[in-house]
Amino acid sequence: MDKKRLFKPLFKSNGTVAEKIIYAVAFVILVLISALLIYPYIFAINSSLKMDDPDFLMHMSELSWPPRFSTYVEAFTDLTVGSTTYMGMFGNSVWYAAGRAIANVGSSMLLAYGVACYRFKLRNFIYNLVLFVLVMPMFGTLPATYRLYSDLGMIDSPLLLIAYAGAFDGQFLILYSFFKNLSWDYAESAFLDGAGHFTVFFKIMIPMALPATMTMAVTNFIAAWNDYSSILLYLPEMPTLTTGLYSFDVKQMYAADRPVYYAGLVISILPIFALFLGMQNTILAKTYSGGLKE
Amino acid sequence: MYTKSKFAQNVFLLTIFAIPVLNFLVFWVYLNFSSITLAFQNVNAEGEIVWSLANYRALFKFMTMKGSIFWNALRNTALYWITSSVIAYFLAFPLCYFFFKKIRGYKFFRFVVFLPTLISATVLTSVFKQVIAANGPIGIMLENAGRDYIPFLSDDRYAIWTCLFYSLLFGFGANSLVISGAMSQINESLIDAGKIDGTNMWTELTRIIIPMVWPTMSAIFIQAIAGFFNASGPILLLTQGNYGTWTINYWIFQQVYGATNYYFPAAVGLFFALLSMPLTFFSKWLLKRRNAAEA
Repeated sequence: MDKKRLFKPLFKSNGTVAEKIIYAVAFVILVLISALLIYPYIFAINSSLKMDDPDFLMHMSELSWPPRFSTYVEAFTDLTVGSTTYMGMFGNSVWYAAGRAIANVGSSMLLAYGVACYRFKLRNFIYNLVLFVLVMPMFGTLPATYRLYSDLGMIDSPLLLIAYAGAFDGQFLILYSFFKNLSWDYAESAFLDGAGHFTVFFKIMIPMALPATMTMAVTNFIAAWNDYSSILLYLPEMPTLTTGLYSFDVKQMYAADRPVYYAGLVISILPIFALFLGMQNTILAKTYSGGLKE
Repeated sequence: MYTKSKFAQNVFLLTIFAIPVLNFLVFWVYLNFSSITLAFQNVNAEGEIVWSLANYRALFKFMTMKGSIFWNALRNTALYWITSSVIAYFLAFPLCYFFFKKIRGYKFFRFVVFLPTLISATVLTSVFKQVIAANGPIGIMLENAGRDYIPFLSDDRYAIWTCLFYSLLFGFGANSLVISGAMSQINESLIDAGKIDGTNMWTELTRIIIPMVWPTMSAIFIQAIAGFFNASGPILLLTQGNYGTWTINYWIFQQVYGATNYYFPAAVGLFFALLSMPLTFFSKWLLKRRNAAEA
């Protein structure tokens, strides 16, 4: 390897010796923090490859050798909560996360487009109402929420997704500003060619807004995939991977084949990991500049 | 803006507004109204719903009775707020500065720090509990060092501090992202101009970066004041509220999750929502004053 490349400086600067020392210390601290943060994942992967050992807990910290890859297959058959299999939990995670993301972003997009691109009497009122809702301290509405969902038959039902089709939130403001800055010329040309409002919205505006809304949908999807408190409350009989694995951990901690449980944990984070790796630059860039993080 | 056919436009707007507006009316307007009414209701001996202030009498009793978890929950809420809204930002700031200065491997470090915000708390807490367990790596390390095991999550003396440490360590990514976001807005030409003038690292940090980042940071801090009573962590997953780890938020969750009583927690929620209001208006006033001063 090129010697010059191997000893590349820690930063691109012609700093003083003191600054170089500070950079070196910062680098060491960053390595230590990274090691601290990466260790739990290594621990989980290592634990998932162990043999079914009655003294598993005593040997948790030891390296798994030979590795037992079959745990990743057994996770799909052995990890069941009530009547829900691991695949069932996976399916619940998918519909809940995707449904919530689509409902939330879709609804925000409908409201934001109408308010940003059309002139009508209540336009300013709706915009100010969103600001008011964002400012109002909402606290302790959980009991009323649970009762409302029960009354509407949304507990343990995909109907729960209706509750997430809310648009009076921060996403509205981001999409409002997006549509406000979007050129109206395309729509104008389409109207001249005889297109209606629906055609313009579905065939021109939505495709143009897709890159921006995709990032929003992905961050929503990740938040919903990792959600556990709402699912424990509102979908107790439809466990997702997060709540299913939590229940499994609480109820069958000592009875189960623990390496299989760890394999289940590792599998559960793979889709999110893949999704993030695929859209890393867009998500980080949008989050940096727009406050997409929930 | 297109106004060719008012009727067609109105039909279109009514159609696209139907879902968001209906959702708002049911899940915000009605929900809040219902939450307020619930706080003034109770069930009598005959099983009938009656209007009364009994929930508030119970609340004041709950606050003043000996051994009540109320003050412990309030203290822990304050600790969580200080950890996530003050300490985490102070600790994340120097790291973000080095990310901004593109220290070697900064992309990797930034990714690692951000990673826990992507991973479910169920997974992280499960592994964290095993790592600090008596037979986990930390327990073994303590044993090898000839020290007694510290029951991190099962002792009143350590449990809340362990929960706070967990939240700080794995919540770091979100904070660093906010700071990095603010730093990414700094005009590179300012930094270059500083370099030409021979500024050192300290001057660059205190005279360029901090002043440039301060408006965003102060806005975030001021907004965090309004969310004071919501401050909490994954208590359910770590201790289930045992060993003195209650927070106000988790207490309300637990009342509903345990399905014990909806009326009393609704009253507690309303009480804290009312307490939040002056905090919210104070934070808005501060924000306005700050913006006016900057203008």
